[in-house]
Amino acid sequence: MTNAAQIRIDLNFAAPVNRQIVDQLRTLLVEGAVAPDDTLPSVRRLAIDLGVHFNTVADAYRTLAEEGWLEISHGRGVRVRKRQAPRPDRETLDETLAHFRRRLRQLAAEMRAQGLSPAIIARELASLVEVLKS
Amino acid sequence: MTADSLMLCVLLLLIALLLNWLPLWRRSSLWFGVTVAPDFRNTPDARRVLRQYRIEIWVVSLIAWLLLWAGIRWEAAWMFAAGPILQALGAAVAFARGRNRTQPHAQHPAGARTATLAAASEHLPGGPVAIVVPYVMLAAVAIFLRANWERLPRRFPVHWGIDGTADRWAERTWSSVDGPLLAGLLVVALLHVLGALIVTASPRARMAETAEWTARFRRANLRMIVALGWTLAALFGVLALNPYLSRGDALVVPIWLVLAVVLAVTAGFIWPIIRISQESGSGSDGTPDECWKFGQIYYNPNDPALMVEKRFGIGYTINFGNRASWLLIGLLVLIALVPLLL
Repeated sequence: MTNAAQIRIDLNFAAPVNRQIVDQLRTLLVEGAVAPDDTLPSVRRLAIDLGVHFNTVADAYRTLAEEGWLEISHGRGVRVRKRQAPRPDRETLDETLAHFRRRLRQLAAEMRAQGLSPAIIARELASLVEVLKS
Repeated sequence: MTADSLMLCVLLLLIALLLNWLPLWRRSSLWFGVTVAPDFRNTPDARRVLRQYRIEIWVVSLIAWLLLWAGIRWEAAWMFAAGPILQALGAAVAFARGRNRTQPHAQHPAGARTATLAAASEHLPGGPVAIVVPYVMLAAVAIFLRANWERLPRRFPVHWGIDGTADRWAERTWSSVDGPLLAGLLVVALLHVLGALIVTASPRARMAETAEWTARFRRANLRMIVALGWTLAALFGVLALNPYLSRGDALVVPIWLVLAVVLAVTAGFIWPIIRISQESGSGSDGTPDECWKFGQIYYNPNDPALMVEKRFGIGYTINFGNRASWLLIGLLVLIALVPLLL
């Protein structure tokens, strides 16, 4: 795990805190900032550090465990699993791709509404592609 | 004037001096328990709040001294006791008034919070050895006293005045001989419980930019707890050995030396905490202002932390909104009652 690996939540965001934790942790897992066999803080530790209810963190960890990213065991904490990328069939893949496009368009529209120019959005997407390739 | 009353007068003066400086020993974005801009402390408004607080502190301390003097002069016990109580209450009111004056300059913090994903690896400084040593000291004294039971006087002093004159005696029983060791054991255990709670039940840092500062602040507090554990175990051990070492009613170690050692160790370990507290860039503590009652009592049922940094004073305080806090308070009351039960 890189030393800089952190979770950042904002209580004023519309998105629920457990969703924010899931999204950020998944991003760190995909990008390799948190690697297989790394140990994450316990539910209690992360909840105290963030100042949110234990159940909020437990929900987030459970969601990621269901996705196959984490292994939660009582007494031994939370460990990152070596996750095999799923191999969806053609129909599931089409659905996932459609969902991805829809969310990407919604996000781009939201960012444009907040004042980001198309050029900036394109630049950010290009840099994201570089990260994913690496 | 007796030595006791002289000691109390000096104590009131020391507390007044401490209260005079206490509001300055806090994070850079806190002023009288209110979250403000980091450079607010250098503004005329901030200086005015501090000046008014200090005037109130010294006025109330002067009244406390007068009450003390009157209590001595007319031998009125209630006046004697009222002085320190008035000073403590006056300080709380002065701080709360300072907080109210600072409120118009409050900067409502954003809801952003951060947490490191590094698994918890913090321990009390010195590791298990540093924790065990005070218990070993106390146990060694207990074994030594048991081995030399017959050499202990059948009656010996167990309490002394400030001037070192014995004023209470006890027969040689297990509770009178081992009493100081049991008291030492409870005090050391309480310190270690508090240290463990700081490690496990207080936030490491809720603002990414203050993580390094917070880690050093925590470390300095934990070092003080470990050092006090050693010091108090040694003092209670020496006190328990007094009937064996002393000839007559005198204390082997003079009371002034005991106080001086405790004060020196405390001051030596508090000084780094004060220096860290005065550094710029320490930001805020990530707790909501509205959950600080009178700026001093933290009550936040939505915060799972049991311990949080104090906003007025040095060290950590309890989150009274956490149910476990009442267990901790119960434990403190129990420890305070043990000497009465023995």
